[in-house]
This record gives sequence, C-alpha cells and structure tokens, in this order.
Amino acid sequence: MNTESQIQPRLLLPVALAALVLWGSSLPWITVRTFSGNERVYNLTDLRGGVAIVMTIALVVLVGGTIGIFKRLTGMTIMSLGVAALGWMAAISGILLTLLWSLIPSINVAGLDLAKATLGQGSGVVITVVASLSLAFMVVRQLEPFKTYAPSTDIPALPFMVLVPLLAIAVCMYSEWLRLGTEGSAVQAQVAGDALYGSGLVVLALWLAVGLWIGALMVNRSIMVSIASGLTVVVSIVVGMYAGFLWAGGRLLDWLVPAKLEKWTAVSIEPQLYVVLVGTVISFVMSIIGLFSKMQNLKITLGARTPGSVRFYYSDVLGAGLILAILVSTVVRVR
Amino acid sequence: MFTGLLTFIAIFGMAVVWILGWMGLSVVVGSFFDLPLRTVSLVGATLGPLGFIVTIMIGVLESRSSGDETSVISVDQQTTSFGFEDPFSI
Repeated sequence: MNTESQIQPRLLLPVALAALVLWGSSLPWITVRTFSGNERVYNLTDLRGGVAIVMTIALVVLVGGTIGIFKRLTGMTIMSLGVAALGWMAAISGILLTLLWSLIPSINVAGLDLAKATLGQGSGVVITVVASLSLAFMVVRQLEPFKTYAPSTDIPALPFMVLVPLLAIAVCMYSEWLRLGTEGSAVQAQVAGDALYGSGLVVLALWLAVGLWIGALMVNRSIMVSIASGLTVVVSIVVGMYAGFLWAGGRLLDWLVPAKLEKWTAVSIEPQLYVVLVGTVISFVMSIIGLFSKMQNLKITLGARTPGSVRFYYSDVLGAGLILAILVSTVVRVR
Repeated sequence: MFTGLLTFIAIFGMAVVWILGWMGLSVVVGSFFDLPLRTVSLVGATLGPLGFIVTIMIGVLESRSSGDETSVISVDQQTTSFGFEDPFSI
C-alpha cells in the first residue's frame, strides 16, 4: 500500500514540532546562579518585545500549517523557516551571553554582577533548537538529492537510540550536579555541569555529536554513522569522567565534612548527575554498537500504520504524544 | 513601546542575518558541487551550520557517484568508437 499519502509526510508531527518550539520559548533560556544560592532564569518573553516575536513566529507557523493542508512541502517549509528563526535566536542568545561573560566577567545583567555568579543555558534552548532542527530535517529529506540518501518514510533506528541519552546529557549539563551549603545560612554553592573547568569545549563537542546524529538521520550512509559514533564515544568517556569524579568527590566530601568542618554541613548530589552517568553509559554502548554495520541498517517506518484493527500512522501517534505532553506540562506549570 | 520595537527589530535582524549568512555559505559550497540551488538554500537556511556541513558531505558523496558514472561512460565510448578494446586505456 505505497500510496501518495504514505510517501508525503503527515501534517500532525510537523505541527506538533512547531508547537514544541513555541512552547520552548516560554522555558528558561538563560540561567544565572549566584553564589548566595539564588537562581534566576530568563527567556525570550522576559524581553521587551519578546512576546511580539513569539506571536509573529506563531503567525508564520499558522500560515505555514494552513498552506500545508493543500501544499504539504511548501507549508512545512514556511513553518520550518519560522521556527528556525526562533531556534537560532535561542542558540545565539546563549552563545553571545556566554562569550560576553568570558570576555567581560564583571558585567551586570539584569542587576546581577556576573563576577559573583555562573551563567548557563536553560532547558528551553535544548527543546527549541532540537525541535526546530527536527522539523527542518523532515523538510530537507523530501528534497533532491537528499531524497536518494534518506528514504522519505524509513528512518534509521540507531541515531534515535543514541540521540535520546545524548539529549538527556545535554539538558542535564546545564543544571546542578552537586550542591554544597550550610543548613543555617544562605551561603550555598551550586556546581552545574556547564560550570566545570573546560566544560565549554565538552558542551560544544556534545552539540556537534547531536548535530552529526541528526545528520545521520538525514544522510543514511555508514560513514556518517561511523563519524558520529566515534565522536560520541569520546564525548561519553569525557562527560562520564566529569560526572564520575564529581560523584566520587561529593561522596568523599560528604563522608569527610561532618567530622572535619562544622560550617559545610550539606553536600547533596542532584538526580541530574545520575541521569548523566546513566546517559553516558547508554550512549557509549550504543555508539560502540554503531560502529558495526549490521546495527546501522535497523529502521523505523514512520510513514507506515500501526498494527491492529484501529490503525494510525506512527508519525501521527508521535505528534499526538508531543501535543499531549505540551498540554500536560502547560497545565502543571499554570497550576 | 519604542524599546520593545527596537528589541524586536534587533533580534529578528540578528536571526535573519544568521539564516541568510549560512544560506549564502551553503549556496556557495552547493554550487561548487553542482547541487540544486533550492535544496542547498533551504538546507542552509533551516539547518544553519549543520546544514553547511551536511551540504559538504552530500556534495562529496554526489561528486563521488557522478565520477564513477563518468568513468563507466568513457570506457563504453572508447569500446564502441574504436570497435575494439583500447589497450592503452586505464
């Protein structure tokens, strides 16, 4: 049953991805952690004119979605260009602020002296960038000559298996791994993954690995998977060592501190550190497997229908799941 | 109100410059490898630096495959035009 509708992508998943990008703009883009234990988060809507930017992008998505009903690829392209602008805004804002911070450390941002704080990207950046890249990837794989390298309905399974733990690591890199503090006073040190020495380069390599795996979804060639696997192995080892040393150090400190020092009484290892540890193990194992050609040929067919009497397209199920997750998360945040 | 408008223009301007910049770079690389203009423009605009890398990889893969096709055609032409196999052909 290889009909025209099966060859063309379904509209629900692109719309869900565009909605995810717009939703990501309301999540933290920049996190400022002061040494007094406070944490402030900022996103696009905190800026003057930020809401207008999100509304403009939403309008572009709406126009693209409407056109997509009649001309699928044209509509998806308009949606993709709109959300790409938002995705890149998220990425550039983080890069610019981090660069500014590294060059002029005594700068004040929103009334906070950044010399007395650490600056990191928020989870909103990851969601916005990845969702916009995924939509772009859905558009690009319909075009020649990419079409010949990536069939329009079959998607290689291995990149997905590696991308999930890699993205979990990427999200957790921007959050606290370890918290040191005293019970009585407000003095507290939060050790985030992106605040560790040399972690800037590691985060860059991590994002490069994510990009290569997204590229491997698009260009179904073993050389692409091999390059991505090689880089992921290195990144997994380095991030795993960061997390492992910090975990061991925290444990050691927790064991030593109550007896030796009276002021530092609280050493807590945050759950994100465990997520990173598990993520690095999974991504390491999957990347090693990815170096073998047999695993590279495993595929997921998104254009096909689910088995059973009531049949749905896999892409529609994924799109509906994303929209449901956005709705549930919005309700939880509002309450 | 005025500050909001300026922020709007500045941020959109930054995103547009970023998108057009990567699109331009991808078009330059794409035309070097004779890739379709529409495809490379969209790849560069939507995927940014990742699109630039992907364009290079696709360009290399495409030029490899077209190179193979050319060598096959030349051997066929040599055989048919001379009527026998050229002993000096590689």
